[in-house]
Amino acid sequence: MLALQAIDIQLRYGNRTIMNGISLAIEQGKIYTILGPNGSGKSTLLKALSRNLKPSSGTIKLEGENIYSIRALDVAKRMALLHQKPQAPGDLSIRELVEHGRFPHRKFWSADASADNEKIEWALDQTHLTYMQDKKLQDLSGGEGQRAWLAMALAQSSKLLLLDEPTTFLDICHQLEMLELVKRLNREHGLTVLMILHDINQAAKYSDEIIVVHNGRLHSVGEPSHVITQSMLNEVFGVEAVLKAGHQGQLTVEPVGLAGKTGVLMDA
Amino acid sequence: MDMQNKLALQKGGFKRKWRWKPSSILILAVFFIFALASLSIGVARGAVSIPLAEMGSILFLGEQSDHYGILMNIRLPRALVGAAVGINLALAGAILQGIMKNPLADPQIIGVNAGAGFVAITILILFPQSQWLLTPGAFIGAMLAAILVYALSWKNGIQTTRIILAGVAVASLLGAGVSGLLVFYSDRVHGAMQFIVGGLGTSSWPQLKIIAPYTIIGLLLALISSNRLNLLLLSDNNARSLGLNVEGNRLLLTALASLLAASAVSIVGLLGFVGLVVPHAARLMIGNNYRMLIPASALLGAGVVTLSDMIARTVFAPIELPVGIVMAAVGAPFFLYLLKRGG
Repeated sequence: MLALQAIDIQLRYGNRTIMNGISLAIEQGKIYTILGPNGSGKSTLLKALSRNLKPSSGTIKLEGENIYSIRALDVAKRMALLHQKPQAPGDLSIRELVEHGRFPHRKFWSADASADNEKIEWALDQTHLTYMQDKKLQDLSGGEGQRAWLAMALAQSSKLLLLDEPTTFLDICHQLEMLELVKRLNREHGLTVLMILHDINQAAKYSDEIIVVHNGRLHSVGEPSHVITQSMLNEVFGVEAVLKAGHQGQLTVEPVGLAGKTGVLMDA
Repeated sequence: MDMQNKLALQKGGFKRKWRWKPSSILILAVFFIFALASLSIGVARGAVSIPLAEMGSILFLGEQSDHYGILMNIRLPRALVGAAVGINLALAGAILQGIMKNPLADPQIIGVNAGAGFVAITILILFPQSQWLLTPGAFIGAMLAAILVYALSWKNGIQTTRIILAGVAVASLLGAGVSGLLVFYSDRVHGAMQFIVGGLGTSSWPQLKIIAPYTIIGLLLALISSNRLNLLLLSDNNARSLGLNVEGNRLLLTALASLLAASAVSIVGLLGFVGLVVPHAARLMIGNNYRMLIPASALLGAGVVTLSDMIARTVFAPIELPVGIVMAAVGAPFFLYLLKRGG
C-alpha cells in the first residue's frame, strides 16, 4: 500500500493555477525530497499533500483512502507535518510543546497518560531533548527549537512525516544534525519521509527518491543519480554545474555558473 | 554531542508522571485564597461592619442575629453577583486573548459592550418606564453586536485583524448612536450614567439567578476547552496539522466569550477593565498555559470585582462610587507595575 498518492491533481489559488496534472506515489519506508527553484510550486504541492489545500480536481489518497474522507484528527494520527516557520508562545516548555503532539490521540474524558508519556519520552529521546525538556522555547537556539518542533511531530506517532524546508534557518552543523536525525528515524523506525530541501547535495545524500518540480509540473521523479543531471540543473535551476563523485563516491554537484538562458542578470 | 546529552541525562535524569507541577498548585491556591478573602471582606465590610464570627454563625448556622437581614438580603447576594461578573468578564477576556493571539483583546473588541450599551441606554433614556427590559434588552444587544462583528469579519474563515477592525467599526457606530441620545436627552443622562460606568448597586438575588447559570456552565466549558485554547496559541497551520478544527473552535469559543460577557454587562453595565486587565495580569503572573490561566483568571476576576466593590461602598461612605471607577483607579497602577516588572 502506498503511504501517500496524488492522482492527476490540479492546484489553484483563486483563479491562478499553480500546479497541473500532478500524479505522484510515495511508497512506505522511503525518504523523498522535493527539489525545485523558488516559485516552482513545491510548497503548494506539500500543502495539498498535507490536506491544507484542496485540489480543484484530482484525488489525494492517504494509505489508500481519499484524504478528504478522513477526519482531520485521524489524518493527524497518520501524518505529521513540520512547518517552515512554526510559532508558539515563548514561555511554553519543550515538554509542553511535545505534549501537544498527543492531541489527536487524546479523548478528553479519558487521559491514558501512561501511553502518552511513553510516546512523549520517546520523541524527546529521539531528538536528544530529554535532559532539557523543561527549558522554554524562548531560550532555545535555532537548532534546538527546530528539534523541539520535530519532537512534537514525532509525538503524533504517525508513520508519515512531512517536513517543509526543515533546514532553511539552520547553520550547516544543525542542518546535518537535522537530516541525520530524519535518516535515523527512517532507517530505525521505518518512518516514511517527504521533505522540501534547497540544498541539492544534501538532497542527493539523504534521499531515496527525488521529486523535481518546475513551472507547476513534475519535471522528474526517481533515484538521485538518475534525476540529478547536468541537463536537469540547466533546465530547472538555470545553472551550469559539474557532477562529481565526492567523498565515498557521493554524488556531488558543483555549480560553475548561470546557464545561458537566465544570463540576463549577468548582462546588466 | 550524544555523549554530552547522555551525561546530562544521567545527572538530571528523572521521569515525570504528573502533569501538574506542585508550584502550579501552590499558585492556584494563592489565587483561591485571594478570591475567598475578597469575598469575605466584601460581605463583612460596609456602612455597617459585621464581625467575622457573627458572619460565620449567620452563614453556616443560620443564626437570626441583628445583621441577618443586611447580610442575607444585601451584602451576600451583591458580593456573589460581583464575583460572578468578575469571573465571566475575566474568562471572556482570557478566551478572546487566546483565540485572537492578542493580549489586548477583550470583550469590547467583539462589540459586546457597544451592543449592550446601545440598547440599554436607548431603554433608559427613551423608555424609562420599561426598566424590566434593561437586562434582556442589553443581553440581546450584546449578542447581536458580537454576531455582527463576527459576520463582518468572515471571509473564508476568520482573521483576527479583521475581527479587531470590524469590532472597532461596529463600536464606533453604536457609540455615535449612544452619544447622540445623550446629547438630545441631556436631562435624562443621569439615569444612564450608572449603566455606562458599571456598578453593582442594584444587584441582589434575582440578578444572581440570572447570571449564575452562565458563570457555572461557562467556567466548566472554559476548563474543558483549555487544551484547545493552548493549541490555538500555536500558528494556525500547526494547530490544523494536529487535527484541530481551527475555524470551528474559534467560532464556538467566541460564542462562549460573548455569552459570558453579555450576561455580565447586561446586569451591571459597561465594566471595561476586568475583561482586559485581569486575564492579562494573570498571564503575567503565571504564564500562557490555559490549564492554569482559566482557573487563575476566574479567581482573580472574582476577587478583584468583590474587593473593588467593597472599596467603592466604603471609601466615601455614605456616597457609593460605581465599582468600575474604583477598579480602574486601583487596578491600573497595579497592572502597570506588573507590566514593568514582567518586561
